Amino acid sequence: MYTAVRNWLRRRSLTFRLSVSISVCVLAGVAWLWFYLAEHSRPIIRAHIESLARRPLHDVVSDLVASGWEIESAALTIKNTLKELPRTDVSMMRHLLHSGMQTLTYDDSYAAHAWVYVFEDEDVSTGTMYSAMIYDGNFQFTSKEIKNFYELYPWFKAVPKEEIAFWSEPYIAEEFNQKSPVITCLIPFKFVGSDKFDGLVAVSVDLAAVREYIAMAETTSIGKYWVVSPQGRFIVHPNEKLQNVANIQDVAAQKNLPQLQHAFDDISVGRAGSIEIPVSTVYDNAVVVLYAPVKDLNWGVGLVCSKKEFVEPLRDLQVKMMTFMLLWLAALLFLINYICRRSTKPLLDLSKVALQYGEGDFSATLPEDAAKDEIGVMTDAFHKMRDNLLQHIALVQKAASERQKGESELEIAQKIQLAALPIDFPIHPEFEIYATMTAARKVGGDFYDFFFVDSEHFAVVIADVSGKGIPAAMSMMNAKALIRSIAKTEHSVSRIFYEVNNELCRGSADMFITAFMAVLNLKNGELNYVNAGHNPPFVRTESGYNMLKVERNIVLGAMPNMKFKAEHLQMTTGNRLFLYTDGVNEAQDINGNFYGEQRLTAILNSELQSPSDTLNLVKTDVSKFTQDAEQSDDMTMLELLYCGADTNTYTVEASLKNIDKILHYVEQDMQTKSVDLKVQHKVMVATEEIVSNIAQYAYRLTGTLRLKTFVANEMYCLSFTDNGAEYNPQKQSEPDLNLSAEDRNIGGLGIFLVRKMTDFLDYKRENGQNILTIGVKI
Amino acid sequence: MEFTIQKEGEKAVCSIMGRIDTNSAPELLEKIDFTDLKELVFDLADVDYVFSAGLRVFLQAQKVMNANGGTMKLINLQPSVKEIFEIVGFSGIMDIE
Repeated sequence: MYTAVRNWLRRRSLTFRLSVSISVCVLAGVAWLWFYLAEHSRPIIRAHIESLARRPLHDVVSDLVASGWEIESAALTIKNTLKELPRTDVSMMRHLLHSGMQTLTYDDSYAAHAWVYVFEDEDVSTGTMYSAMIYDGNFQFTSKEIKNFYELYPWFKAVPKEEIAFWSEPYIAEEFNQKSPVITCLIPFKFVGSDKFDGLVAVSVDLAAVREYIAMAETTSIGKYWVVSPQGRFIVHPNEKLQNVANIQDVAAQKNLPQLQHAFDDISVGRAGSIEIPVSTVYDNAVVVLYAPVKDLNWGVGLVCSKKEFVEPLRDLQVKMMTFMLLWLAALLFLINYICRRSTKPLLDLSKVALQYGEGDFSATLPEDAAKDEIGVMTDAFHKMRDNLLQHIALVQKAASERQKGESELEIAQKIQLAALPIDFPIHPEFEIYATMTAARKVGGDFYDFFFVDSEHFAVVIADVSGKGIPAAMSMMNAKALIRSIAKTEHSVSRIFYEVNNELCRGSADMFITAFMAVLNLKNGELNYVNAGHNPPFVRTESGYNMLKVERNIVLGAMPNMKFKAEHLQMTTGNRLFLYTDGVNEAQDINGNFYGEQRLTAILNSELQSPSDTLNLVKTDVSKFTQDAEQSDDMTMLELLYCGADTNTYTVEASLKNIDKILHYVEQDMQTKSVDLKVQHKVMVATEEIVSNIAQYAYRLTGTLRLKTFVANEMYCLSFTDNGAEYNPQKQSEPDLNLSAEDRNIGGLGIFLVRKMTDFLDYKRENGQNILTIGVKI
Repeated sequence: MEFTIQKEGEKAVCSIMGRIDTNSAPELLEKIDFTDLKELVFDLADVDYVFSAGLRVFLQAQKVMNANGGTMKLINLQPSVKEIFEIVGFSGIMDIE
């Protein structure tokens, strides 16, 4: 359940979640407050309301006390004056009562009665009654003899014979209009010097005035009053039927309201208090009665309030509180919503920006003057992140462009290196040459070179410059140029290296070069060579390829004035010189194994082909060996094939594009030798077939074709020499000439034609060369 | 080698000059439009040499014409050229004038 709610909340927005949680909290607070008010504040509030309600009660009590005191003091004044009187004549008594009643501020509309009774003989209750009555503003005075005074009002006997005020219970007095009861304040008196009780002074008032007063007080009060006499009779009661008739103690007993009795008991001992009555005739529901005693009169006053008056303020308070709280909650939710939106908007903005950044768009602007709150902190973090990212990207880009630049520098170096290598391999009767360089990704400093020292001497060079990159390439250019230029004036290879070495040492570059140089005398096949710390080359003789034993000498550029020992070798027709750099024999496979000289020797001796095909064969074998391993060093090879000295040799690249040239050469030759046209035709046909055959099949890459013409045995003869793969035209089967056009094979005609056109055909394989000789009878 | 091809309806005449060698021969076949061709004539009046590559072209052309149900004719052959055709036995399978 909890998890479900949590998950549900998690799917909602922050605003929603905050609103819900705060609403729950506030509502819980409201509920708590409600119960707190109900349970704990009720008595407090009630006490407060009670104290508020008690004020008018107190005023009523005070007023009643004041009224009582006024009546009592009027009686006292009369008594005190009377005591001093020497005699009691009628006029004096009238004056006395009149002045005594003047002190009453009593409303004229109600009747008041003051009288003095003077005993003649107290024991037999005889005496004179002086009576003054004010009624409707009229003052009436009477005096008469009255016997049996105590029979008039029996309760007179209860008046203590002391000169203190005695208040009567309400009663119906004859001298009044007998409608409303009256109360009387009685004070017995003694004349001065008398030792016995001489009479009574009394002042009576109509209780209608009290009722009127209470009715008036009720207009400004929250409840209704009752007033009880000292004996519990209701002087005033909201229910008029009970007035002057019912006794509070009887009512308490009848209606089984002990609390009412309790209230009366309190009043009797002069205590104030409050009681609750669940069912009241006054308000037809529960009431609260506040009561207080009235001093001197010994009355009690009760204020009967509907209980609603006490409960409703609380309920009002609760309702107001709830309304207020709910309004406050609404305002709070609105505020939360507003704050959340305001707070989350930058977050949403930030997330948008983050998305844009993620897509690589850094043009998105961040809020600049963000507040210094958490979101401000986050915005700052975003600022920093963007700046760092931009910096980082700039760095990466810079690095990338530098790398690219570096790579392009490498490319430039590679181009320099490759451009420096001659690729126009001379077609020459006396030799054939081919060289390759396979550059490693990071440029090494390998190079090869070949050039004619003069018309009879041909030089080949292979070298490996220490180091890599542009410096190596530059150094290689330098060394290459140096060798060429020095070789122009200096024919001894050891001298050439001596000079080159000194020149290189003069330069500041700390570059070493291992190099091998050989100069071939084309006329006699003598090969002079010198080595400067380079791999010993291979030489191919009849016994195959073998490593040449060479003086290693020091590398070039290490130290000036070094001697380089030259050596020499006699080359015969078909001999070859194979030069290479350590990129070949030190080529490594992924396991770090070297290719090695053994493998090199083996592959060289596996098949005899033209120099270009030989180099290609080695290259293929090396890549087969290294497989996926990256080439770590330049791989450079050069092969020089000596074909022997010969003057009447026409040498040409064996290529289809040269067919016309070759046919032209042969045609010219036959014309100078005045060969018959028919013979010419046959020779031409045979030549075309042979050349196109060699051009297409002898070489995989490229190679040389040597043509020699001569006349022998009354035949015009032509020999074709190439260094390609072995073939034997004589082994070719003849086509079946009797087949129909559909069944005739399109191939196989060439060699057949050659056979048909010639009178002599000979094929030899010598020193790795194919030599085909044809002859046509003149 | 140079050549011109004149095509009129179902007939085409191809006049060739020079040597028909390995380099030039394949071009001939590419240039001749064999669609709806019923009669193909090669005029070899100005041809000095025909080599095996040229012979192969004529053989192929003959095969196509046979398949088309048409005829092929070689005319005006120089004796030396005609001799070549005879040597390789093409005189038996081709109409040579």
